[in-house]
Amino acid sequence: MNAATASFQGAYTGAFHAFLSDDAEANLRAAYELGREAVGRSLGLLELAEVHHDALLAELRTAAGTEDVDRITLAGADFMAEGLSAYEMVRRGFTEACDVVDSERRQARMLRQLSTLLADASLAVHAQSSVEEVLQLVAEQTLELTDAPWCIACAVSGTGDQTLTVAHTGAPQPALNEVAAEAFAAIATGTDHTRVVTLQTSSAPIALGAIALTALDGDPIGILAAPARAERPFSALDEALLVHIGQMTSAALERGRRYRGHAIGG
Amino acid sequence: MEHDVVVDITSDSDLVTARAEARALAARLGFSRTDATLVATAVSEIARNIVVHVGRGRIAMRLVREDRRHGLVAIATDEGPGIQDVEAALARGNAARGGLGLGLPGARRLMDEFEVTCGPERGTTVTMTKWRVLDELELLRERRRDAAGR
Repeated sequence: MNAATASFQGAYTGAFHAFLSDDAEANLRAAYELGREAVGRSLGLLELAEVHHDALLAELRTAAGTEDVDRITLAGADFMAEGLSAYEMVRRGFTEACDVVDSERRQARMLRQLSTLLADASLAVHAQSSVEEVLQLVAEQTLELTDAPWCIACAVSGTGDQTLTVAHTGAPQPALNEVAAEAFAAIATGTDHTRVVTLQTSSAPIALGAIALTALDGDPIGILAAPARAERPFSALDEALLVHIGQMTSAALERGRRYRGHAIGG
Repeated sequence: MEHDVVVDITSDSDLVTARAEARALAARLGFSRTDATLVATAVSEIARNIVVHVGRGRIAMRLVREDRRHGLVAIATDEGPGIQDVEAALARGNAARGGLGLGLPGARRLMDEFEVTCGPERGTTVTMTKWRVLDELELLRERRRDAAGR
């Protein structure tokens, strides 16, 4: 045991003894302060446990009988719980940080993957099937990233016809074509190109997170839309992901359009 | 709401009073010893923040009884300069003190609901709640009590 831990142990043993003499809040607070101090000193949980058990053992050796043993043991549990509450704050913070790191890593990996695929020059060919390929890819990646039940990726051709690609999980959605048309009308024709909209379809209202896919001049050329799950509304993160994917998709579609224009122009 | 308790926080020793009141209210609501300890710890952290950063303030605590759950609400107020970046303060706490996640972020993680609001020029209010969901037996007893009271 190093000098710092020995000094901590002395303070802990003294504070526990004082708490056994008087279980007032002031003496219980000492345990909480010692727990904070232990966290600040980077004292490990096992070291704190050892310090506590040494202090407890020292007190149990002076016990006058069974009742006294019970009293000291119960008081020891209360005292240690106070000390551990500071560790509990740190533990919850660690869990939270791990969740954030996991989530960011996963998103970064997927976005990198999506970005690489959308940047692939082979997608910028003049065949219409490559647009469908891009949209299918985008819809599938959006499903995976947002955990939405289904997704619509839709591009509008120069003649105004919709080239529609829909990816979904679970049962096919028979009304997706209708939803795609309404979502495009609601999002692409407004001034706010990214928002959550509620569409009144023939079956039921649907809340969609939607972003317009736009050309370089800002003209809408399609939409990317996904509904929130019933048990979980769209989060700010989901919305940010949708925007990010939408912007990358817009760039890929625009590149393809320009390539086709260039190829046709000769 | 019921059982309002207000503790003026002007010095370090007031943490003891705030903790004791929080623990007593938690016990009154039937919180487990562990949860009562977590509530006392969260109250300690926001009381400490007042003492360290502002010097004086107060913590009001009250019980809330809803149909299926009971809660302890603690509202800490001060007239200090406020917090410039609340989001950063809630995420990391005081980085100058090592950023171990104690203080405001620590209190936030121990409670079920947590909100920080700052006044337009001065003042900070921290509102935090810990809930205890009633079990079926307790709900039955409550319904019987209500029926008997009618």
